[in-house]
Amino acid sequence: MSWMSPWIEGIGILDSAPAWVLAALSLIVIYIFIVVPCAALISYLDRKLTADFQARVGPNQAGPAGIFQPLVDGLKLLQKQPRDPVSWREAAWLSVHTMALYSTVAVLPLGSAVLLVDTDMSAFLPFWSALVLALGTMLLGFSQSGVPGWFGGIRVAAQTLAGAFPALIALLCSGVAAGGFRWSLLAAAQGTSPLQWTAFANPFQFLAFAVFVVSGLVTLGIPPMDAPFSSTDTHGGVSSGLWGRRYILFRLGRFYGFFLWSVIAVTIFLGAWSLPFGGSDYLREQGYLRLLQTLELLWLLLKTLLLMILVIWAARVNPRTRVDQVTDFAWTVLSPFALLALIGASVVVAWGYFQ
Amino acid sequence: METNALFAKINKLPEGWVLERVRFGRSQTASIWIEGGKVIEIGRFLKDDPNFDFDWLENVSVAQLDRVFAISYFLRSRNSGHTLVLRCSVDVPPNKQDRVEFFSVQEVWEAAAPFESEISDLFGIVFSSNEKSMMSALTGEKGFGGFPLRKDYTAGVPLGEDG
Amino acid sequence: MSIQHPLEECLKTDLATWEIGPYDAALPGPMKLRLSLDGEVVVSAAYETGFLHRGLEKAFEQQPWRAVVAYSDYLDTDGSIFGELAVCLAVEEIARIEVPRRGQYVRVLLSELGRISAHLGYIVRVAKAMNAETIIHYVLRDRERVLDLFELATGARYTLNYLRFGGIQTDITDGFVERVLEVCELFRVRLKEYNDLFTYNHAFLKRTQGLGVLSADRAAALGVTGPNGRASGHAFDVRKAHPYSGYDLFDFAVPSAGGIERDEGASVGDANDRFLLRLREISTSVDLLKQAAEGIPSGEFNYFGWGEKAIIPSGEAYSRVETSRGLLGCHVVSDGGPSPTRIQFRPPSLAHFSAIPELVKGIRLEDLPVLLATLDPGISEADR
Repeated sequence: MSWMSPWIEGIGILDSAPAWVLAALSLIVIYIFIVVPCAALISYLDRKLTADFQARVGPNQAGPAGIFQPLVDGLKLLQKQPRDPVSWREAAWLSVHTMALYSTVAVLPLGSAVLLVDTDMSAFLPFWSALVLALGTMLLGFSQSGVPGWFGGIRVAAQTLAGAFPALIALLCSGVAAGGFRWSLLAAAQGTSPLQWTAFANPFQFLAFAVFVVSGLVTLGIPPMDAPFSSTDTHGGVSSGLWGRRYILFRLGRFYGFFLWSVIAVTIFLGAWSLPFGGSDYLREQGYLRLLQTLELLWLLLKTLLLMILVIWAARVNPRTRVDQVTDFAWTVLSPFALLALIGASVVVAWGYFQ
Repeated sequence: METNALFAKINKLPEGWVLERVRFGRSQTASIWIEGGKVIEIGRFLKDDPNFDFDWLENVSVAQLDRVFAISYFLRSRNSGHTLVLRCSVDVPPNKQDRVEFFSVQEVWEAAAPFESEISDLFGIVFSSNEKSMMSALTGEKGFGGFPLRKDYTAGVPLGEDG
Repeated sequence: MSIQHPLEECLKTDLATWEIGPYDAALPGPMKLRLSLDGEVVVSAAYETGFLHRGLEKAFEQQPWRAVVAYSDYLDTDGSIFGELAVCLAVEEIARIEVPRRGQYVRVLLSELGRISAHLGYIVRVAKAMNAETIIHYVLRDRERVLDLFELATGARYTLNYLRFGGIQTDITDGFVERVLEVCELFRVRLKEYNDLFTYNHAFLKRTQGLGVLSADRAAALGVTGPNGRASGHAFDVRKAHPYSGYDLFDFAVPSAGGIERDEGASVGDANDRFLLRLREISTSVDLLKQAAEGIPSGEFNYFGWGEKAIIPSGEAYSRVETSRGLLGCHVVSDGGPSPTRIQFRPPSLAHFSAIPELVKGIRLEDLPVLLATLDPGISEADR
């Protein structure tokens, strides 16, 4: 856990702790100090920006300009009593959901030093967890007691299968440009200025980037492709029976999936965490490791948040797409484009070899 | 004017069909009183015959005048724009909980269905081919407890243990 | 020859029945819908209404004549002017009461404003059914301008209680006509904005084109009138067929299905046509508003005063009004007494409900709220 060393120097008790304790600690730290505040920030920005688009005000009561609204919402949901005891199906969902999502916290690329897991398969691990997340959500849908939940579950399965294939292919494209799927390799292949990002390296990579983002929306059921969770025809679909604390877990899980996907998109296509104007190298030379980690993390999160806001913007303005239209789109439009991008990207790289 | 032409055609209808021929209210529309039993036959004729061509049943209205229900069918021709009111009467049953039967014109004009459904719930005039009630939640013992639009209807289901 | 897959023998599939209602986000109001679903596809549907029955027609019989207009407001609160107008026209026919020109023009102004307001509400419902939130707020913001006009003239935003037998209750205030013209200008700009934002949005087109096609013959057979009927090709508008309240003095063209450009995948009488037709009706109404506002004559606004001895003589009449949903008929029977003997409404939405079971066959479950919203049946007036 070399990344934690600048933070735990001097605290004697942690110097001798076994590695797994440190790993668990770091997961908790990352979750509490990064993921949850991001969720709160995005929910606030979402509501405020949406209100601006729609010529209204948005939250403005809880704190100045409504800044504490997410906190207040969270507290309110946490204190709600559940309606029924947890059924075995919901318990299955809860465990699958928790394992799938929160284990990927370890794989999140949050800066050059905060790489807990930097293997040759790093880029794929969150992708598989997105699929497992969909399995869990499908089980949740089936655990509901009526048609809304069942239909939501089936729609989740359909959309995930449709979106997974182009997403995988687009992921491969980024690896083709970088030469591997390690986070560090993917980040090192990109520079700090936008012109050196993988997404803008050549048209095929840009196509891969676009396909990656859109197929992520399809796979995870993010608006406007959120038919499995639609409230107009199926009372909220998969979550129609959830209430209180379980519901907040569900919402947090959905946000986390979206967040995860955006972080990966930024890391592999949009320049990862390299600070502008050679800041990373400078800080590393100077030895300011804590500052380096913090700034890289913030820079990555900033880019991620911007990407998420763009997606939310499109979602708020457009109508919801019907689930069979989404799957048609994924199979007949996204997949061919993804393959085209892969072939093109490979050709470009091979061309470079032959020069 | 068109109504006079329409009246001329009405005069040519078979004997015994038209009981009375009069203008509707103070308007220029023609209205004819017919015998209740012949409503399907006459209706079908008025719809199919190219002289009349009344293919659109616009409205079915029932009004209780003393002890008689006056049923009015407002007909209209889509092509020529003529209108006609077909009227017949049914006696009001002396017991206010009793239904009375009448003939349904749904086989002639499909549009009659919702009107007849409502009328059977509110007036107690049962049209023979009408099984479905529009307001099954409201009719029956616990609901209206009678037929609300009749003049002798008294409202209020007595409040019992579950009232 | 079909090959019987061995799996079919052990995996039994059946239709799912799902009853939604009386309250559901997919439905336009309190009603029950019993769906038979084959997977996501609706095989058949049966509906039940009556949940909003409030005994309106019986209430008329128990009130004196001067209360009739106030009750007729509540036939359909989304377009209360039409209920008032239908009753006033019928009673004026019975009692041979003439309406002065100014009164007629004001009635036309309010009717067209009511039509615009109802169509804007329609846009909101359609957008809500497919979760397009932004257009909803823009449309409601503009609807407030129309409701402000109602408030200026009548004192109320929805249930106006403004018409009287023989004209209107009081004269319109001084700035009213100018403000009407301002609102006309506003809509000229706003309609273009809605088109930019929503009408040609690809996702919206894909959700509504080819959905719920109602042919002209079926529309005529069921009695579907108004924008739904005209979008299907059943060209009937009461303002042209039986002009009332001075509509024959105005020069306007009723939008019809023929004037809409369609892509492949769209058909005549689908949900998109119904939507587009209402947008065009808004511009027709704006046109009519301009004509009425610019040409309104001065003079009396009501010839009939409710004196002590004012009575409505015996007789009957049937009036027709073009509401935002279609043909509203009103059959009034009077026996010369203090209360009406019978006031019966022929609401346009009864026919829309009859159309639901056949339109719903073969659509997907997700299309159901969109179909019902574009069909726009008014439960309030259908149940009375």
